Amino acid sequence: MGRTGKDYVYTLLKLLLCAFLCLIMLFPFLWMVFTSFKHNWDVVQFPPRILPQEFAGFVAYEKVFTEIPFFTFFKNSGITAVFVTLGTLFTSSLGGYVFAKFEFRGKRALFLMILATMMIPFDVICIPLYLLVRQMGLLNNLAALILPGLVSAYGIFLCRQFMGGIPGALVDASRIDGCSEFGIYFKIILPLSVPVLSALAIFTFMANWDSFLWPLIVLDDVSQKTLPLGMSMFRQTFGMARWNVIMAGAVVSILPVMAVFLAAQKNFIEGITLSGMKM
Amino acid sequence: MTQAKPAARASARRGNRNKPAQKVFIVVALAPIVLYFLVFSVYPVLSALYISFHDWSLMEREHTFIGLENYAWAFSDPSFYTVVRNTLLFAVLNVLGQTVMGLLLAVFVGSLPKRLVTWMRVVLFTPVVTSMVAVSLMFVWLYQPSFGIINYLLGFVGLGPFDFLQSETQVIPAIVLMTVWKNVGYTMVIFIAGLTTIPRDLYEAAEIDGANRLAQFWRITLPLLKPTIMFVTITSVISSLQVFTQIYTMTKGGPGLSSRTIVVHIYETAFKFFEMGRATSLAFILFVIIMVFTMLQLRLMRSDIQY
Repeated sequence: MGRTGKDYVYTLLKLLLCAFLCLIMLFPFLWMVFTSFKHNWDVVQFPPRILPQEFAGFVAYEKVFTEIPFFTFFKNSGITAVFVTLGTLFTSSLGGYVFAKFEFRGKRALFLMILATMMIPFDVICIPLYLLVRQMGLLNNLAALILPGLVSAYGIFLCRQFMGGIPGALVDASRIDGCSEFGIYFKIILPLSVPVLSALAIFTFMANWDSFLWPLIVLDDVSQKTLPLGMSMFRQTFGMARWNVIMAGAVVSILPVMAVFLAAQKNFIEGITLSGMKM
Repeated sequence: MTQAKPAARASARRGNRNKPAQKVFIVVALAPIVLYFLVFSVYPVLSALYISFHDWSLMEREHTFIGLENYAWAFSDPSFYTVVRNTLLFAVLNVLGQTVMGLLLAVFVGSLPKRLVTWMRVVLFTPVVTSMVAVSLMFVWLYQPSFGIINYLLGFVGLGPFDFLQSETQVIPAIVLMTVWKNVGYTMVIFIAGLTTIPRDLYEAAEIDGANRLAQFWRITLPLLKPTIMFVTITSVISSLQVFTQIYTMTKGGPGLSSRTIVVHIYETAFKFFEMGRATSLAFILFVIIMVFTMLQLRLMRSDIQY
């Protein structure tokens, strides 16, 4: 089959459609970045211009860090997301391993109970959870975010599915070699589960970095707020004319995740897709 | 689970002297996990049910049992119906947009040369990894009536300016549009994965029979993709019914009640008016609605694996 003129038109149309899609997906980001480099007076110009009329440098970015405790928000989000992710990885791999490779009485019932908790929407338990956290004296404390996130039913499920595929002979062999049970978990199971654990890590980190409803409920103190809460506070702090500052904050807040995403896009997309596809 | 059994039994026979060590390991590993689920899942659900039968104001120490009165309140409150209608409107528009756009994009992107697929995937996935609050703020600024770029562009075709987020009729569609923009890359990636499971030779056979592209899409792609379509639809119904972050960030449920959804309603009832009993009864009503869809999903997942 020779290439005809029709084929070329077809390819051209496809490329045009691609360009159009890129424009739609990326334009809001560009608009955000360009706005963050505008002066106050430039933001409220009509008609609006896409590019800054006069490049304002990092004035807006400076305001983000000086007028509100942005760095603190950043640190709080980072601490929460890192601890929850580490906890989830540890408990999910341990639980997943036990459910995949051991036989004991009540195993099926226990596993089903854990799976059943996945069906409970967070909105149902958030009120008793709030009362519980209040009773423990953890309101306005990052521990209130970390503690309920350390174990994940879904993580256990995901790890069990994956670890079922690790040959049992490997576990038996190391047992005969005199390896302790925890030794087997650390030296055999964990290294072999890196693919599923990295997917779970990406998913958990993202979910906690973005988490909004629960922090909104338990954190009130500015010094304890996480990034999403701090960001939504922006609009009250900075009025309408300060969109350059708000957009600068948005840019800084998405920069770390964006950098990791662009560096490891393949793992990222597959990780989120795999672990997002619940059951 | 059945395949694992002989292996486990064999290992139990061989490593008999290790049996106590294994028992210790199982207990040590599972005890904290079980304790966690009891404290952070089982107890809160039971407690929520208990609270929903009480007049439970956070302001008072005593909570009196009032039976189903909180539920009766929910159904007699006219704003409840507004809130349910808003949530359903959001869910229907969002699910339709997400599924249809995701599918069309998957078919289009899947037909591109390999290298372009990688690029388009990254571009379409970028909003998915961006935080919802940041995206919400971005769109408040895009939608801004006097200095926002969308109204400026609409001006060229003689429309607007619209104050999208302050309009009773436009506020939900505007938030849905943003949500679809943010999440469509995710649905697309799932659909691309689904498309790769359809055997190539079906299309080749159809081509020989003289079926055009459109016919191939309707007769082959769509029917064979049914399990994926069902999966995407149901998961996005469940998440749409729980929408909160973007609504709270963009409008706080306003103007008036016009973008207030069930979870916003629960949040305000519990943490603005401190009526925990009423709020948990609302949450249980939502729970039942979501449960119906979860059951549907479980059933489909079980029966629709093979084509």
